[in-house]
Amino acid sequence: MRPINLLPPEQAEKAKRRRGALFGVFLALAFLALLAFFTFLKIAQRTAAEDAVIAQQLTNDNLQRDINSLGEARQARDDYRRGEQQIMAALAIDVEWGRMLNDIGRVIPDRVWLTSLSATASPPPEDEPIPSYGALAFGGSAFDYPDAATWFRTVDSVEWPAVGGGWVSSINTITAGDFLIVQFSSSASITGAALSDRALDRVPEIPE
Amino acid sequence: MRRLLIIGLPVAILITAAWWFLVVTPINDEIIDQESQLDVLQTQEASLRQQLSALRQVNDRLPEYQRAVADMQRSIPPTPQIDSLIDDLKVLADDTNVVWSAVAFSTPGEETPEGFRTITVNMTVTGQYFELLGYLYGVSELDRLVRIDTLSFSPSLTDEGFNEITLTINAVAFTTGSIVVPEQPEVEEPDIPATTTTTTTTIPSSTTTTAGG
Repeated sequence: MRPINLLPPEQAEKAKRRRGALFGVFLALAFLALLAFFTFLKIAQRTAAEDAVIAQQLTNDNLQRDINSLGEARQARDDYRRGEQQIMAALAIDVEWGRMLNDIGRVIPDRVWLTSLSATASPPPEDEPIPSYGALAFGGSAFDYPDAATWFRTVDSVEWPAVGGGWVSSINTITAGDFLIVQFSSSASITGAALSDRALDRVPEIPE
Repeated sequence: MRRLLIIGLPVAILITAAWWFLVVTPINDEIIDQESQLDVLQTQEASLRQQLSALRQVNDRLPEYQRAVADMQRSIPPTPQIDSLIDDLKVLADDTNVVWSAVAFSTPGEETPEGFRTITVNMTVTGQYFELLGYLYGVSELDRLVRIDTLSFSPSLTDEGFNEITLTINAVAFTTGSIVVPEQPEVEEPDIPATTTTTTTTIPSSTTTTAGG
């Protein structure tokens, strides 16, 4: 059946416009409500982030307070570390001279005796492949050239690892009383094996 | 309806854009800022917890740490303490039967990056080979840290025909302090009253000074 509208066409048009306007207002309000809702969500998110930062700051402050209350322990630990570093640095090139001289007495061949000895410990040059921790200079005498040669072989032998790189700077014959003897001067480098481990002994170990 | 769409849609787009740039973006920036702050604080918390745990361990062994520090300070004392160094070296010389003939000390040098100063000690001692050996071992075992850098031996014969060696040692001792010159106590100035002389001059009213004469 066909619907029959008895309203005049102007009235119908008016009603239609009113409905359209109401619909428009509804849409606008819905749109604004949507924006307000998302704004609220964002503000809540920001507040949560701020609260998390405040809570974390509080935790950190408490931890810092606990750390500050252990000031004496921190001082002791810092003093210990400083002392350790100082001893390590002070003994970085510490040659064990007692052992070095003992070794000379042990390795010096028969028929050879030393008339002078000077030794200097020094930090190794940076670009040297085999670091040398100083130098030794010997002056000595022997009964004959082969005796002196035995000494030079000893300086470079594995029997005496604290010294290496031996060199003879001069060797000549002299008269001593009724005898002819050989006088020599030689030098050598001090190797890492000559260094002491005093630094380790000097730093008291504290078990973990 | 069509008119509503034509007007409403651009307006809605404009409002949404304005809302996004004026409201949401600043809030988002603040959230990002807070989150990065939180990250930093959380990293800081981990570091603080680590520090606290390490310090608690030290605190549990505090007497041992303090004893160790005191031991190390005997090796490198906080003041030069030359007097006790002389005592130690002399007692060692007597114990090892060497003759201690000369010694010279420098003043403490510049502070090294590690925080100590060096005092050079030049000594000359005389004795037999094994006595000198004992002296060198003894120097390395002193409570005070002494490092020998240079030594030179020169043997000689005594009047009695014994072989005697003169040992020249250049060594270094260490200290963390320098020479301390005590401050002069402030001398309080005696309370001398200011020389205020009160002169009362009575000028007779009849005095007349005549210049020239």
